Amino acid sequence: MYPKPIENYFAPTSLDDALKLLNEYGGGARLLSGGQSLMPLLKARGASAETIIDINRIPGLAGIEHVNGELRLGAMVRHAAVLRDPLIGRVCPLLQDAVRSIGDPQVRNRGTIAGSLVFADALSDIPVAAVALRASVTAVGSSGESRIVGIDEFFIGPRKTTIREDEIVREVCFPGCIENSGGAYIKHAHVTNGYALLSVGVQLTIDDGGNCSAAGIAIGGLESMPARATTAEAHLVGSTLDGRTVAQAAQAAADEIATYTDFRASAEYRRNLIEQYVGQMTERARQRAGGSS
Amino acid sequence: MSTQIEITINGDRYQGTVENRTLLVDFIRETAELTGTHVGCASEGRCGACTVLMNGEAVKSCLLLAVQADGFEVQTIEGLANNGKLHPLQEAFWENHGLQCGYCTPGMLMALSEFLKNPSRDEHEIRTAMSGVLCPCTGYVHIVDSVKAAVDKLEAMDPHDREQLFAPIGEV
Repeated sequence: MYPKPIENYFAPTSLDDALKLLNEYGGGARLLSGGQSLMPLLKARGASAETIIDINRIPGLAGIEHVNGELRLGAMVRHAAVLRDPLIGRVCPLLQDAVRSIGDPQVRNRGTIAGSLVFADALSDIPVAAVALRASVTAVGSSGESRIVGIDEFFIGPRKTTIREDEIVREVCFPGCIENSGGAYIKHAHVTNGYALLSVGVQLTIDDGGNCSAAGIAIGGLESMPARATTAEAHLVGSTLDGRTVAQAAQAAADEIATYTDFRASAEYRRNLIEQYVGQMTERARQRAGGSS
Repeated sequence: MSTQIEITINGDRYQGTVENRTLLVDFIRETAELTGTHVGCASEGRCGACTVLMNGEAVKSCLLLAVQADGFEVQTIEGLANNGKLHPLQEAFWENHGLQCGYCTPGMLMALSEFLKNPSRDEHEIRTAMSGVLCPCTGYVHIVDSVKAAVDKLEAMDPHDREQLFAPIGEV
């Protein structure tokens, strides 16, 4: 299979040039970062691109910073770079868990965190991690002005985000990557294609007194984009994360998240996975956050 | 619609004017006429038979446009042996029957050649490293054995020779 003809290919070397091109070529233009989702889509003729604007040659977009408990990743930070980074392993293990679940080494060598978010596949890993971690996305518009979009305002639905056609994502931020925080992610994947039947990410912060002061729980593998299990989160916050509370939270997550039946799994099976995984990931997150009991 | 590009493959420079939609794998096979890099699934980037190294990293050459590799260094299976001497990984595959039909082997070897920069005998790590290349014949057991044997070979090598195995082509 081959993409439809691509009229124009540009590889700008500055964000300004990329924004100008995006403005000039408008709706027929597609931004290319890792390309590990876009290329298969173009080849399967699920989409076409009159113009490709390749942002791989723009310097300065692959930075990894950890400032005031916030992990900031430039738009071109690739999955493999996240996996290799010992700092991220320490301050944001949930993200490394999610990246490890993506594709295979070749895909991780090319694919990017920001690209995975903007592609907004309902069954992929990074959107779940981003919801659990309460991420935010910095987008730059053609006027050069930037704005910050919180993850709750980011996804509209599968393959749709609130990032406009004339905007480029410059950075993704994960707050709450502080001492005494920790997270974990797990995916039950379809054997042949790797997409989530169900996936769960849990991020916790534990205060000096051993109580949970913040919790983010996200469920993926649903009919729409990953959902936050807010009732389950509320069970955990303020608790000592004792076994009984964690079990109640897991049950609450299974109750509040609507599952569905398709050829891969029944709604009941997915519901059971939510309960199991929320319990397991909360326990793993607790250990990583340094909690005792 | 078309762009002029130059890609260095196994130390040799190849120029061509390609349609923008030309895939890197087709530039390698048709412009450079290096047909050791195979096309398996052709549509989804799932099989990994087309895996090559681009600036030292394993990539699926069917998921990249040739224009993206303009100015880059690519290494294919034809560049793995050095002056007629097989790479330790190739020797290990030969000695341990790490292939049957051989169709996936070029991709398997290129993916694993990146893995050998930070080698491990851990079965899980080996299987993770080869998870991007599908082999419908072997059931993978002999491939895992081959990788373990290749790690032994690397460790037995003179450190200087081992370093040269992973030096950028042209600088060896």
